[in-house]
Amino acid sequence: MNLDQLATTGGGWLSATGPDSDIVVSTRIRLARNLATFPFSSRASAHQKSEIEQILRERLGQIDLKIPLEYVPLAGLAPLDRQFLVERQLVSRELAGGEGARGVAFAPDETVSVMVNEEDHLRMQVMRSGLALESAWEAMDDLDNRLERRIAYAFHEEFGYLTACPTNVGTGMRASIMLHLPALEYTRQSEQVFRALQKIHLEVRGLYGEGSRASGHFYQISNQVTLGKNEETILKDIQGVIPAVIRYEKDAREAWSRSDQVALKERIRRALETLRTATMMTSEEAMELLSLVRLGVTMGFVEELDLPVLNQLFIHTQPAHLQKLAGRPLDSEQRNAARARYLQARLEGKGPEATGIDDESLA
Amino acid sequence: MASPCDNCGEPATVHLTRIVGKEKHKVHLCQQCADKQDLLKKQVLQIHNVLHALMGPMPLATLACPACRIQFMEFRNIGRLGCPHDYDSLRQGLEEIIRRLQGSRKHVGKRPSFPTASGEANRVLVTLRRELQEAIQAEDYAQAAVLRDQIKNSMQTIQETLP
Ligand SMILES: [Zn+2]
Ligand SMILES: [Zn+2]
Repeated sequence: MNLDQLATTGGGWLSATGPDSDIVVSTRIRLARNLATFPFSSRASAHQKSEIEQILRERLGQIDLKIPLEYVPLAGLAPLDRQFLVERQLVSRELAGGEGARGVAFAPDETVSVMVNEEDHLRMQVMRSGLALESAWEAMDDLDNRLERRIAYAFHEEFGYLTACPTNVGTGMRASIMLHLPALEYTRQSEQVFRALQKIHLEVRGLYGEGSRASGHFYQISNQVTLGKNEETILKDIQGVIPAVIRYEKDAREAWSRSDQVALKERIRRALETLRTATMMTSEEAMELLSLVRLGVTMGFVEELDLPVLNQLFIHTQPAHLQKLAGRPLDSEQRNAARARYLQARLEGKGPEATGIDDESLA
Repeated sequence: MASPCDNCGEPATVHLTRIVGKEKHKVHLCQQCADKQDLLKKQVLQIHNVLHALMGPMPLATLACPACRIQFMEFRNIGRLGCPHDYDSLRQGLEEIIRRLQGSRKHVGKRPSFPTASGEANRVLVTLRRELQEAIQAEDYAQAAVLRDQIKNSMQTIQETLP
C-alpha cells in the first residue's frame, strides 16, 4: 500500500455525505477480539507476537470482502508513516508507539481497519460518514462473523468475549460518534452536556482521544459499558442521545446567531481571512480557525466552501500529513509555513496535490 | 539478618505477629513506615488493615494464573491481564473489579455461532506456549521440540472445532 498516495485523499468517513453530517462527522464501531490459545499481546514474547501476527494476517487475507483489506506491518514502518496512520485514525497511538510484530489491515477507502497486536490481538473498526450506527454495526458484525469461522476466539460463557483489559470484556464493542460542537463550546454549555452524558455511562473524548478540551471542537461520544447489555441495546442507548446533543448544538447556534449575528459573522469572516493570508500557522490555531469556518459553512454564512474539503483540511494540516504532502521531513517552524501555504492554496480552490508545498525551492 | 520492611525494603525494626484462625501472619516494618501508618501511636493493631494497605486482602496477594503465570497484583499494577484464562484463574479478585467497571457480571450479547473449544483445552495451550518459551530461553531444544509437537497436535484439535 502506498501511504503517500493516501495523503492527498480524504478518507471515506470525511466525505460529509452521511445523515446529519453538518454536526455528526463520523460513526465508528470497534470490536476487541483475542485468540483463545495465546497470552494477550502485552504478555506475549516477541516470537509469540510474530506468530499471532502471522496467523491473523493470513486469516484476514482469506476472508472475502467487497473491498479487500491490505495489510501494513508497523514494525518496519518509519515513525512518520506511523504518525500518519494515527492522524488518519486507522491505527491508535498505542499501536503506533508499540513495539514488536504488529500491524493494520485496512480497506483503501478507509471504512474498515483491523489492528493486530494492539492491546488485544484484534481491534476491528468500521467507519462511516455521519450518523450511521446501524449500517456500521451491520458491516462490523459481518466482518466478525467471517473471521469467527477461521479464528478460535477467546470466549467465556459468563463474561463473553475476553479482553486484555476488563473494561472491554463482554461484547468487546465500543461505538463512537464524532460530533462537531463549536457553538456549545463557545457558549460554554459543552461541559454541562458532557456531564449529563457521563451520568448515563457514556464517555466523551476529543478528536484523537484527548481529554475535555478537544481541538477543533470535535468530540467523540462512546459507550463505557461493554458487559451486561447486548450490542443492540448499547447502540440504541447511544443512538437515543445523539439527537438531543444535535438539538443542543443547533439551539446554541440559533441563539448565538439571533443575539449577535453581526459579531458571529464577523468572527467567521476573520477566521477565513486569517486562514487565507497567514504565512505561519500552528496546528492548534488552524484547528480553531477551521472550526469557526466549518460552523460558518453549516450555517450558510460561508458559501464558497463545502464540508468535504473542510473536513479534509482538519486532517491534512496535521504534522505527518503535511510532511507527506510536502514529500520531505519538516521541522516545526517549516511545518507552520507549509501549513499556512497549504491552507491558502486549498481555500483558493486548488486540489491537495497542487498546493505547491512539495516545491523544495520554497523551503 | 534483619528482615526488610514489607513496605519499603529498609531494615525492619517493628515485628508483629497476628494469628487469624489457624494462620500466623508476620509483619515487618521500619520505624518510618510504622509511624506513617500510625501503628505504634494507635496501640491497637488493626492487622487486617495493615496487610490490606500493604498488599491487598491476603488471598489476592498470592493469586496467580497457572497458565501464563501473571499474578493478580501484577495485573493491578499494569492494568492488563496475561491470558484469556485469567478470567477464571484470577476470578476471585477480578469479579469485584468487573462489577465496579461494568455494573454487571454477565454477558448477554453476541456469541460464537458454533460451539468453541473448551476453556480447559485453551488453558493447556497457553501453558504449553509458556513452557515452550521457557525451554527456548533455557536453550533446552529437545524439550522445545517436544512442546512444539504437543502444541501442534492440540491446535489441530482446536482447529477442528471451527466450521
Ligand atoms: Zn519501611
Ligand atoms: Zn493467565
